[in-house]
Amino acid sequence: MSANPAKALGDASAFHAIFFEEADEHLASVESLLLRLDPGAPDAEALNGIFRAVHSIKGSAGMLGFAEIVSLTHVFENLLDLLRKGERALARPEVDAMLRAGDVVKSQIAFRRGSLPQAPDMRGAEADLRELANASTPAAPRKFSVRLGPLASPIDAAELEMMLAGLADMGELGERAIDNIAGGEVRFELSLTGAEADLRSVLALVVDPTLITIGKVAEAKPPVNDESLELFEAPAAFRARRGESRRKSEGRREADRSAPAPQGDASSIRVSVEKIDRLVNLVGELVITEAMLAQEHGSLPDLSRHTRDLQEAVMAIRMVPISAVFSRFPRLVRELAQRLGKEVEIKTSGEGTELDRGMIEKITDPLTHLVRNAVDHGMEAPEARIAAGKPRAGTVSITASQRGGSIVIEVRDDGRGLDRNRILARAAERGMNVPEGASDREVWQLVFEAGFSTAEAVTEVSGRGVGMDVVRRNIQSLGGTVELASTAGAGTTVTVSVPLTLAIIEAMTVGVAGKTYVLPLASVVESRRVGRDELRGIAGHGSTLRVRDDYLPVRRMGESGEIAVIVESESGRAALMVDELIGQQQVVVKSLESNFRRIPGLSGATIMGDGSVALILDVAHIVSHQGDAKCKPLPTLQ
Amino acid sequence: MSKSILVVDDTRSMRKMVATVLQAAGYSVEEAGDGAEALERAKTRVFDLVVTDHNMPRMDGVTLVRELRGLPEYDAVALIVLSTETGAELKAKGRDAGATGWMAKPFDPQKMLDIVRQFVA
Amino acid sequence: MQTVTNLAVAQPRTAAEAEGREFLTFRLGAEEYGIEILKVQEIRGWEVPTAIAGTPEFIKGVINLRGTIVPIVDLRLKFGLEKANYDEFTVVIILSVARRVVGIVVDAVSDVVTLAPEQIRPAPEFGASVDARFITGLGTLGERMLVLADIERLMTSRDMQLVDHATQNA
Repeated sequence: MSANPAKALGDASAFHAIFFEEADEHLASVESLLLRLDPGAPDAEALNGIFRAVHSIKGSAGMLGFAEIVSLTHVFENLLDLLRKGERALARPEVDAMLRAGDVVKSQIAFRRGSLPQAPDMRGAEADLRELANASTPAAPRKFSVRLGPLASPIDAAELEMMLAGLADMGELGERAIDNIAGGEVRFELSLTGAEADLRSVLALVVDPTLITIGKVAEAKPPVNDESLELFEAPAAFRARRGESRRKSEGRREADRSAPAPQGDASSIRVSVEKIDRLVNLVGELVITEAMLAQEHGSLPDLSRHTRDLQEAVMAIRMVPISAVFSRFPRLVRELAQRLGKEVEIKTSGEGTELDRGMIEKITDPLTHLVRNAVDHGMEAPEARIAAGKPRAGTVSITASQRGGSIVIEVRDDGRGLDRNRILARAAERGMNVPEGASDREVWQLVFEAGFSTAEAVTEVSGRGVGMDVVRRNIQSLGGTVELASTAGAGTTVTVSVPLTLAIIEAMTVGVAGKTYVLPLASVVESRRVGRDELRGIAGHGSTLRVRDDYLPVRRMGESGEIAVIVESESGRAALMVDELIGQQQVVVKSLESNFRRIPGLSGATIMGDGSVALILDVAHIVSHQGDAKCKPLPTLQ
Repeated sequence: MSKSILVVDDTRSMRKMVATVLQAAGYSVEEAGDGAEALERAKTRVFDLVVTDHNMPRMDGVTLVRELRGLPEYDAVALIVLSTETGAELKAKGRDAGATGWMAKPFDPQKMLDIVRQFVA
Repeated sequence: MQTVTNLAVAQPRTAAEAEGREFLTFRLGAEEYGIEILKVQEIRGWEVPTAIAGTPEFIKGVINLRGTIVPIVDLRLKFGLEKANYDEFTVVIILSVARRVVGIVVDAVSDVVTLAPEQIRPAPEFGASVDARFITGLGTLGERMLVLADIERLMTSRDMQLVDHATQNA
């Protein structure tokens, strides 16, 4: 029989990887369940879930010989057991202690994994959990054996009687042998929940302290079965019974033997990101090849359809629910608020909204920054809120939804809102020129300027050199937009919009000066031929085109251009003049930035059926660019 | 044809460890992640022995044992519970449900093999 | 009409080769340069890139390299050399540097050489066409003098304008 079961498993390191992965998942689940617990009415299922997760980690850690993890999770488990049985009430201290313990376990795992140089100090977390767990159970009564003597002179009988009666009230008086005479002893056993010191002081009222001897009687422990194995049926008996039973059901058994089912639970498998990306790329090329084929030889409807379906299916693999990003916010808000002495609740919705995984990675940092801002700069202190007639706790709500070809994420707070005057003052300080009577919207835009911060102190929390300018740039590099809206005293809303997927869009291809350009179809409203006389010039502001009741700015990419393509973005519409409308097709969006850099005016490139590269125009840029002398000339627009 | 054992535990690493120990000794092993899944598996083929954890979602180990005892084919199949919990009350429940034995986690691979050898059909 | 050469890194055959480093050599104007072979992905012939207005003259545009968009920089224009024509003999070296794929246009590619440590001398003070910052040493191979360039540093430098330094590491 080996002392360490883990040794018997031979090289256990193969199991380590599985254990670490599992532990990560369990810990994530523990954290998320803990954060969602409502102390007033804790969900039994949730408590059970947390218990099971910690229990699992403990079991596996034990097998692998990770003693320190077993130790901490054991205490953790004890508290959880009390909580789930209702023997202990759940309140904030318990949740906090458990969250902290979860963090320590995470560090313990990291240490075992090799990503931390030394094991974390778990004593604090362990002590906290132990204290909370023990606080609930009444201290078990302990048995004391008391000896008073040898007595110099007898104790006053009445006093002795009173003392014994008093002790009987405090606990349970057991066997006694009282020899209350000079040279004699008073002996008795006492079962008490109090401390020995208290007992001693009571006794000292009656006799000289030096004559008091208190010994503990070892508690006969309730029989705990710590046998590692208990058989309910002896092997021999079992075999005998089995023999009989077998003979009876032989026939049935034969019929029941079927081919073994596949091993393991394969409801989901892990695939490396590189493999997925490669798959996406290959399918993208297939799409292009199919388009080429269609161009040359006419399309085969079945092939078209299959290619399209394959494309959708592969893109779906890359889609990840945005909860992957949202999940970190509750903890972030909670800790931040605590640190800053504010009370903030967080609400999230639309967690199921799916985004391309590449997108998820890139919006995580900007969104995190926005949430930090909301708590740090946006939210007032509780007293200030009450003074303003607001509820004591502020709310930060983060919502995600899909609108057309984009995902829209809103970070809204009900805090103090943007201070227009402060911003204007800061702008003046920095020598920025702000037109008189600028709209609120234009003033908010100033916040996006590099180095702009009206915060009194760049707090450790949000001021890490990541300003709103970087947030906007990051979002824009994804082909998205950021907008601010705010009402003084009521709160601020930041709206982030990013394309649904980086990879494939429905497009309209146009020709300008012999070159092919691509416009996202979702942004094209309509197109038509226009005569020169339809274009009205406005001095210093280029031309406009009347479309029904609107006068839209005209944008040109070349000299000619008799066809107007009306395009629309979040900020409005414009008429883009082109030479010809070539067609409509799906294109695979290729990033310009992976090997090159972001070019203003372009949101990417694509590879056409003939293998040539066509540039994808950035509609937001087309619409909002003024094109006047002060701004830098557009790369593709004039 | 080698003897087949069903290993049930919601903790993947635990399952793998038990499976490895048993496979190394020549048994063919199938795994299930909870009691419900195990019951379904057990209905598609009759295993020669079942090792199950107790604390699992959907259906716990003791309930699984009870359910399996309700199947005539499992009359003579040993059902061993392997759990970190060793409280007398729970063990009694296991015994009443029809478990053949109760083993504590962390388990000693040698001990496990001994038991399996003695009880495998 | 593209010639494509894929370069596999050869196994060292002799002890000298095992010790030395391999370089791809190419001509740019009057000089011969050497760059680490590991940075070279392939060599292609010239194809007209898709131009992007508003980018410097030496960035010719982007091409489609088996489904990836790759920018092409004409080093001859960047370093102000006189001749820069584009015909069937024009060579484009596709590089893999700093996790990007970029292409450079040079006059001609020579060969792959191995230089033992003794054959490499420290960089001179006077400049070649390339800024001294990007020169790691001088290699001598018989009569030839090779300017060994840190092609990764060069291609990612600010004035090559290939990399957006503001959002790097974003």
